[in-house]
Amino acid sequence: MHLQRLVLPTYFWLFVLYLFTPLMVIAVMGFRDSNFVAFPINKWTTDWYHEILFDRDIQSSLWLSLRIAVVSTAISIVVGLPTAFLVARTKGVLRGALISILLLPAFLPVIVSAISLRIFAGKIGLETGMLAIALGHAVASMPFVVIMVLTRIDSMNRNLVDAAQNLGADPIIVLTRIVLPYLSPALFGAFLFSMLLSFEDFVRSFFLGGFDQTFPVLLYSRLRFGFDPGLAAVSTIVLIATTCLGLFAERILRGRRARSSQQKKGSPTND
Amino acid sequence: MTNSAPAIELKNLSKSFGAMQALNNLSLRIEQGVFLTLLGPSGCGKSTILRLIAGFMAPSNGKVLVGGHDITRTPAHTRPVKMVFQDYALFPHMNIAANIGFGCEMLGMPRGQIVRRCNELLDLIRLPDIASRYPDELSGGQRQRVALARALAPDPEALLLDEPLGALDLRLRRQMQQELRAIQRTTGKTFVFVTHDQEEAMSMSDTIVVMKDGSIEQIDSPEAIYQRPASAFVASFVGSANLVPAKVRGRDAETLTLYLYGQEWRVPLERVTSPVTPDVGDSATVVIRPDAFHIGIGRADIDLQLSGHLEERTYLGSRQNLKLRAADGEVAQIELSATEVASEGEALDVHCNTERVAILAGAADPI
Amino acid sequence: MTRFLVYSRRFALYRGFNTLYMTSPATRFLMVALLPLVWILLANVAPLAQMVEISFRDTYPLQPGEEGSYSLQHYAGFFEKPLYFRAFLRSFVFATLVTFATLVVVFPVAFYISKAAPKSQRARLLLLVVAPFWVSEIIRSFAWIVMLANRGAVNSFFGWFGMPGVPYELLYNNFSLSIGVIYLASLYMLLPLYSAIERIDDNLLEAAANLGASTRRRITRIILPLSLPGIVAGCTLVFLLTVGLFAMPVLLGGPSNTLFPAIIAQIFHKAGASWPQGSAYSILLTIAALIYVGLFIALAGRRGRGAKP
Repeated sequence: MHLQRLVLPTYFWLFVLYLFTPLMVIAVMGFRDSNFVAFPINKWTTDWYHEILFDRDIQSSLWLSLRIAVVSTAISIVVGLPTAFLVARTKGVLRGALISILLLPAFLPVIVSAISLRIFAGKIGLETGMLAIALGHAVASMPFVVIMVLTRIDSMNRNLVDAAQNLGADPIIVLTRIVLPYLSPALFGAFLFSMLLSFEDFVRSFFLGGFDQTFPVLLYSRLRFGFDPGLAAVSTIVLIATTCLGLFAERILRGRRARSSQQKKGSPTND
Repeated sequence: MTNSAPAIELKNLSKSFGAMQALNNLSLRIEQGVFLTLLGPSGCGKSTILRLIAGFMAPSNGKVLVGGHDITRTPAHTRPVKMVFQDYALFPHMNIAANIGFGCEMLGMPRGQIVRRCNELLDLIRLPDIASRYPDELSGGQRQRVALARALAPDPEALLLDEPLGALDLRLRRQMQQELRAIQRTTGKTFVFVTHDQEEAMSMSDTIVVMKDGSIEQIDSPEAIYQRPASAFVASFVGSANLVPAKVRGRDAETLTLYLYGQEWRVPLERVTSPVTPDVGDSATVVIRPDAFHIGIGRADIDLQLSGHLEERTYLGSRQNLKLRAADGEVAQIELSATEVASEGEALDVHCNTERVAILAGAADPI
Repeated sequence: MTRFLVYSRRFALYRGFNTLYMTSPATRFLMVALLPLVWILLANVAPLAQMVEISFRDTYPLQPGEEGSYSLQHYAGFFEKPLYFRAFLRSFVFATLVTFATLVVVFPVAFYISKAAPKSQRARLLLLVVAPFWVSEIIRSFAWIVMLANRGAVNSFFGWFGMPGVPYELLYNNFSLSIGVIYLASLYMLLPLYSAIERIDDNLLEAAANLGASTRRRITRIILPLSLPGIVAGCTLVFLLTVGLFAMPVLLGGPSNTLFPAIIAQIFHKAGASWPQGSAYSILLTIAALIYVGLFIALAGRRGRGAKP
């Protein structure tokens, strides 16, 4: 029984150490008072955390990444919502086929997906740059958006739609008053998830990008051609922001799900 | 709308799902202000009828009329009948006031009027203080009543109730049955109630429609359904019954002579409740309710008399099952009221009055 | 909101939408399905089809007035160039080894969170391990550069202890790359494993213990076979992720053992004339990876069934 009481917990916490140490180290590195990334740190400064926010390249790359994230998320939700409805009303073999085609971009090797999109963009005359990247990101996040929304639709009590109709709601009111509010946690979770996926994507941005660099692409080129503790500082800020958003999205998807399933079972209690 | 028109009328309604025939050329008139129950085992098509009336699906054939108007092609959201769902289907993201007011809102009623209507209904269901609560904060019984109020709020021509008490426990169920009946009387609305529980149907309805395999077996008052079942299916589905196979030995203007339990028995012709009266030589089924059997010697000239040795007695609560072996070795299984005292291993006499039996043409299918 | 909607009923567009929606099941289907089907066709199917088509072309993009010609030269060429072929094999071997290593590293963690840890803590422990999931590939690579460089955290730590031979060459080789990729992939392994192990009925473990099975036997005879679906799903995800990885191998790996995605990127970034070659290699990579994973799933499925009696 030593295994359960001693070995496993120790191993688990070592694994946690493995996960978090590199992130801690990079956060600490942002405080090094020197132009080089190196240990040991003898002099400390908070200057990098100040200065880095005024670096023009980093500013504009973060701004570009953010805009791309918003546009690609908007696309993937506008298309993903009807797609989830479509899958929800398809049954049997057709449903399986539809889902496999939908999930295809998530299972292709990323580099293959990126290159095929690059070639296709060239074919239809779409210039590399912001719009091409945003569309590429929408392709990548669509499978996740559809699956999240679909899961929620499948958990929905179909009688709710019948009840609303029965009480006089036409299709538009059923959609806006009943269905969308019910789907809202999944939609919000999918929104955050898609934003994060887009914001962090490197390969598609790398191949579909024009002259302006997104933040991950900028980071990549600086990592190859020279970097300073300032880069560690900005990475730290970004990683904290994305982690918080990610955990928030997780909580929304999880928390509401619990509540809705409770409502669905509707345990009949006595008054 | 004229008063003479039935609240709901179904004309030659058929519905099939692929190869499965859910409803088979079914016609039904539901008069205004009636509490009508569709009773039958699951899969008999009773819920399909409600969904066709509400317009959630279109019939394969036939017509649906409400208040004399043909609404077969009318979209569901403009039909004047409202439904109470088995799982209530309350909108989880709206509070109770919004749930109850939803139908009125859809009619474009002014806000003040909606609030007044909502309060009226909360009083009617005796839950005046829950307007701002949410469905998941209510108990099952409360949700049930809110669902009822929500359906009543837009003042529908008729209310469709799809096993609305199915999810409640027995005690609450009895209480809600009475309450539902009372609300139906106060509002004077036509209720079309679906259930598979025959006791529930008995205690609430003005009219019961017994269904089987997408067709109507019998339409009658609860008393008539129980005492004068039109078929063996109705007899055994509604209440418990001894279905005794018999042969017709003779028939005159007023009586039938039946051969059952190894003896002949003369029964008045008016006890025949099936559409067809069996003729001499035909087989017949005698329906004897448990409460028609009594222990002891009856009147020799008119009562059915069974005598034998009580081999086995099974207690069933309000009833008991007796296995009686006659002197000639023939065994009779009879079910009778548990108030009659009998003990195993003793000689026993049982009799039955002609007034309390029903005669059906044909042999009963085993169910 | 609803008041507005009820009011807007009198407008033609609103009524038109509703009427159209209710006209017939066919129009209803079309209204829902049109946008998704167009998207699936343009975003998921067309680019791949296009890539397949281009891979058979001799040159692409075409010069104005040029007639395209088709051949298998890029596929044939692949097997004639040992440099590319070796990188291809290296990628598969590397992805296989990393997948296996990730499984070995993560399995005890998944088991601990889902079964061994106190029930009240499990959700919190899972959250703790899932939290770094949202850090991007590039930042993670950066973090490991800072960890493993000659003047990085690890060497500095060893030097502080006075270990001989510091600094060690930890970065820009297969060691640093493996550490980084396992770091990146571990969550794709953890989540399927966790949900598979969590689903195993505790009663089964108690029954096995009751029948005299030791801890080790309980793990090998019950936990492992029953978590097989999770293992298969996790390995599939990790393998597909690893085999197509581009940025991390460039940032953390050595210059001498380039992996196949970097080769594809290289070919692609040369003059436009090598797009067909890049396409052909992309398709080879995809097909080989899918066949490899398919075989693995089939094999594991047979094993899983064979283990039952």
